[in-house]
Amino acid sequence: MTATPLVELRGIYKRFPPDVRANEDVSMAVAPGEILAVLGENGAGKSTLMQILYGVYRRDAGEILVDGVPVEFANPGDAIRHGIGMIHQEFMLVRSFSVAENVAMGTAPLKGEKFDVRAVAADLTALAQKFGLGVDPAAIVEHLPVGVQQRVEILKLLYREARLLILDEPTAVLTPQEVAGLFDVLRALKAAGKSIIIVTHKLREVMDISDRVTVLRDGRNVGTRITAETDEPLLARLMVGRDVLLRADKQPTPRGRSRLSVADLSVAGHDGELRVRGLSLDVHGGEILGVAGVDGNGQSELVEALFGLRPVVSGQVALDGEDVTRLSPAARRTAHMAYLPADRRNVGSVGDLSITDNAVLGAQRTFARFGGRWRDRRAAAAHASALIARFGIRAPGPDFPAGKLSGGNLQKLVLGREVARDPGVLVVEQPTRGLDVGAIETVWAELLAQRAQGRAILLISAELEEILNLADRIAVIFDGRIVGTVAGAGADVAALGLMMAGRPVAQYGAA
Amino acid sequence: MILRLERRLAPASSPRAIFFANAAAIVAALVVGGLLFLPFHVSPLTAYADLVGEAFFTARGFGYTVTEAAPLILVGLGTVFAWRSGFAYLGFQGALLVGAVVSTWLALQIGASLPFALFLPLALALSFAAGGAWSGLVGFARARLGGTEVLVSLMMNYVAALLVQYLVTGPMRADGDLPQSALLPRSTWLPIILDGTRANIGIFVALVAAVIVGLVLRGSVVGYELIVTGLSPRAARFGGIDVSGRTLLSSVVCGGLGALAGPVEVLGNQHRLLDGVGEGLGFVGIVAALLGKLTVVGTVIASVLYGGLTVGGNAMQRHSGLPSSVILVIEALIVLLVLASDLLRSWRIVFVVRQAA
Amino acid sequence: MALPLAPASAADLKVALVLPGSISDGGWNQQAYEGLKKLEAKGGFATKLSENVKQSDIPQVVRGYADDGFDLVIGHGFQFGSLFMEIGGEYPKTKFFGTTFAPKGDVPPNVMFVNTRPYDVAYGMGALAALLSKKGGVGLVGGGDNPTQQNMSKLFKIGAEATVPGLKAYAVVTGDYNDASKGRETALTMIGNGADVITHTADLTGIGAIKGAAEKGVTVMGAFSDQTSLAPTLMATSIVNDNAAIVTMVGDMAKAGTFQGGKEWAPDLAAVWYPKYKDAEYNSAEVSPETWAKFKAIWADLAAGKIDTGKYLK
Repeated sequence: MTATPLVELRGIYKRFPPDVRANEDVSMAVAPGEILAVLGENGAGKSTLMQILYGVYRRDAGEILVDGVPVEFANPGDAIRHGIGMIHQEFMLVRSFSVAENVAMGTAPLKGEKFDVRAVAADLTALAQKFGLGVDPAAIVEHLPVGVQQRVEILKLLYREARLLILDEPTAVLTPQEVAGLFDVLRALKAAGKSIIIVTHKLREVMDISDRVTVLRDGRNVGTRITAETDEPLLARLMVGRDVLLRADKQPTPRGRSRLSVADLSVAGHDGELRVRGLSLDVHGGEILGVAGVDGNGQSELVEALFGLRPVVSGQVALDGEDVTRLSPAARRTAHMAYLPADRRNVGSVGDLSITDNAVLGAQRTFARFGGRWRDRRAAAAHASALIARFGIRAPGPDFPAGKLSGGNLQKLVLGREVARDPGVLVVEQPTRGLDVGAIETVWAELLAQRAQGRAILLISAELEEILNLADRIAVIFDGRIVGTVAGAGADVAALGLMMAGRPVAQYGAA
Repeated sequence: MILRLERRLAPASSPRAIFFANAAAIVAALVVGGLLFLPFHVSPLTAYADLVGEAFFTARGFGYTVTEAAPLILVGLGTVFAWRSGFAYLGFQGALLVGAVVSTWLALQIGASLPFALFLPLALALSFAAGGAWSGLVGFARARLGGTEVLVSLMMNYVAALLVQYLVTGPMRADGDLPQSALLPRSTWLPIILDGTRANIGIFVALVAAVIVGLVLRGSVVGYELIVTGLSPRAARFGGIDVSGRTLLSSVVCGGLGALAGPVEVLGNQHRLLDGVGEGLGFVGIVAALLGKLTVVGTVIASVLYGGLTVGGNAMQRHSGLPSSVILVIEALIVLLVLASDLLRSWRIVFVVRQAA
Repeated sequence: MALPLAPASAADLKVALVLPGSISDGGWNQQAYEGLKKLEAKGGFATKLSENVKQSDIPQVVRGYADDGFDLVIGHGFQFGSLFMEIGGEYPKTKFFGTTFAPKGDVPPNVMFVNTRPYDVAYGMGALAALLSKKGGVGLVGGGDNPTQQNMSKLFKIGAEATVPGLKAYAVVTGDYNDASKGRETALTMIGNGADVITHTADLTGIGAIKGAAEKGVTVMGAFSDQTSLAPTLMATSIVNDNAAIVTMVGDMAKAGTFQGGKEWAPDLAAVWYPKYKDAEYNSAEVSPETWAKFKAIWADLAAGKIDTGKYLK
């Protein structure tokens, strides 16, 4: 870089007593008009570094330079005065206020006792037009979709004349369409000379949007690359520290008998409207049936009904030929059904409880004495330790709270717990959503191992790549129905895309 | 060198951190409260020495302290049981009154003809059952009809208070006396455990209940299921736990525990049923449980401290002549600051050393 | 001693006053507190006070003073009756005085209660109300539901109807000392039934009754303190209860060794109760001198015991 960077970090150190080393000797820079991606797995120190730059944390050592001049930020206010703004994963908006009021708070000059909201609104309209943000300053925040709320946060920073915008995992809460819209906005900002740092663990986003990428691993900067001169496998290796198999190694497995059979199932959503409409499918031992589809086409209602968490309107669910349609979740567990819920933090586990307590969830009466009445803590702890060892869960010990595990480690715990019960049928919903590459690799390998042991696996995922990698057959769900089923091997992505939009293209065998 | 506050990654949760945060809160409350003494020309040090000395370092005072603490512990245990399992019950005042009515009735009917060793377990069991049925109604309403237990349980406090008012002005009124029941037979009074003090076996009832509740919550499968239900009903359902059944159980047990405070208060302190018996205990007990961070041990400690605060506050007023409002302000300050001390644990003090360039 | 506030000396009588309510309640508790202050000002007394003591804390506070070696503990209210009966024997060196009737049973020799003669007063109020009535109807709005209030209601009716035969007297124990709107409604109902003189024996409830009656323009009578300000023109008089005097008299008795332990003390009616309207006894615009003379004769008979109200309560 020849020009002076807008912001430069030099040799940043940060540790949290007693023993967390969040950043060690990290240096990086962002130039005017540049989009820099900061890539790293969960826990690599990305967020801490950004919070130091934004004045939330104080570094232990190192320098921060803005326009080549060393600066000290005691708080975010200082950072904002130097033109540095940050958008957190959780938005800092007053939900019952309008967009203009949210922006005016703390920034706009007072007119008498009140903000001059009207003047702010006029400015915002101009800003929104200039950068193609499409936000109505008069709208009330709580009525806006998440993607638009994020734009309000961007507007807030632009209104404060930020020159560098830091976005922490901005796509985590967005739909694919919203992601595309966000990236358009970021490109417009870049064209207007703004600098952007986007913090992410998603390789594809790095390739899509950034000019350069700085990779953090274990708190250190392990490499900065020009995006156009690198590729996903290279970045993955930098990020994880070893070669990563982005393709699952799937061995042919003999297809067994039908284990889970769903016939003409209809299920209602929270509002009473039918979300699953006469859906039928069959899953056999030793196969993975992938259910592909855009989120919100009845997938959640389907799996909840399969596990007994949601009442069925009509139709039948059978496990090994036994009708289980009316059975409770406990009874279905006894009938050797297991379920990996999409919401691993709120449904699959209880964050405030220890790993041990979570390891027995659903089997609490098995790890017990006196006829299942009194808990056998020793057996439970041994079970938890076995799961930790077998799945390589990174945790200080079985007494560690599950809620403090990273997403990947938590998912290993939940998946490990479910498969440890030797289920015949495994229902898996969005198993790798939000996980980093290393964890995805582990989860995929475990699912294939389960398949090799002859279990019937129903995989529901919105990630087409995941389905293509794992599924023996792919059923496409649209509006609560299966619109078609195709073979997993050599499936045509374009055809799947059409089916996901509701157009049946091909039929494969008996669904 | 500069001192700076820095946010921790997670609140410090070691016992040491919790102890120091709470101790700091109490000291801060006493310091702020001490300022209120100055206009009355009372030395805060002397006054606090009275408070602590009387409440904890005289046999008589400590006897009062545990007597004040016993019903608080029982209501606090009910709170721990209910709130930990996700049942936001606020009807302990009502449950306490139900227990008071049942034990008074029993004592007046057959108390005189029954040996105490038989009478007490019977009175406790009946009070527990009646209080459990009382609060179970709320649990049943939530399980079957939905809605919120907060409002219903709160309103049922009034129902119970009016019921007691009706009983002591009507059917249970002692002839020609104030609106109150006849004095209970002496054989039904809770025996004093320490000569020269008013400490009665009510504190043992409370401590035994605490041990049982602690064991059930920590060790039993049902306790585990209750706690999972409280922390995350969705995870509980996923784990095959009968969530509405567990909620119902919790609702019955919590009211039963709260109702035990009724006999402890009536048989141990008042020796008769009267309008306004146990006033406020049903709410102070909830506060004690909150101060104890909804743990059994914490609740017992907080209840004893709170009881001591009441006894010591009375002593302070006796000796120094401070208006009772000052004492109440200090009590409230301690509660507020201890509850707020959680915030303290989320921050650390950092010493920033600047070296000369 | 030259100082106006004498420092406590060993010879001082140590007096503690325990109040169920606040010293600034403008009534029952405040008056007792004023009595205590008078004792302190006299010299020779070292006083302490506990106010707003909850019923459940009363035993603890009283025993605390006794253990601390106080010579006299005054419990101001019915709450102290059975307690003093129970603990009197345990603290023979301490004198206990409860501002309430003696409960049933033997009163310990160091415990004294008081008959402040509320029934004589109620009879007198009934008589005066009857004398003032033009339409032949009078009403009394009572407070909390307890034997004292019930008996006062009864004596008010007896006094009124004995003084003016054929007159109709109403008396209602509302069950509440502090519900102004209840008092107002009760008074209005009585007026609707033909009462044209309204008085009360309750605190806030009574104030509500006076104000409600004054709106209707009927004659009113205050109770316990000079309540002229509630209805300056319609107020005939207020029967003032001097609780402060009770406290100072008990203090003096303990000091002089005339404390009548084991008994229910009956002070002079005139020392404890007297009619008051501003600086006079009565409002001459509402009460004629002849009417007042008739009332004073009855009042004197009550004070002398010539009218025996006790016989109506058996």
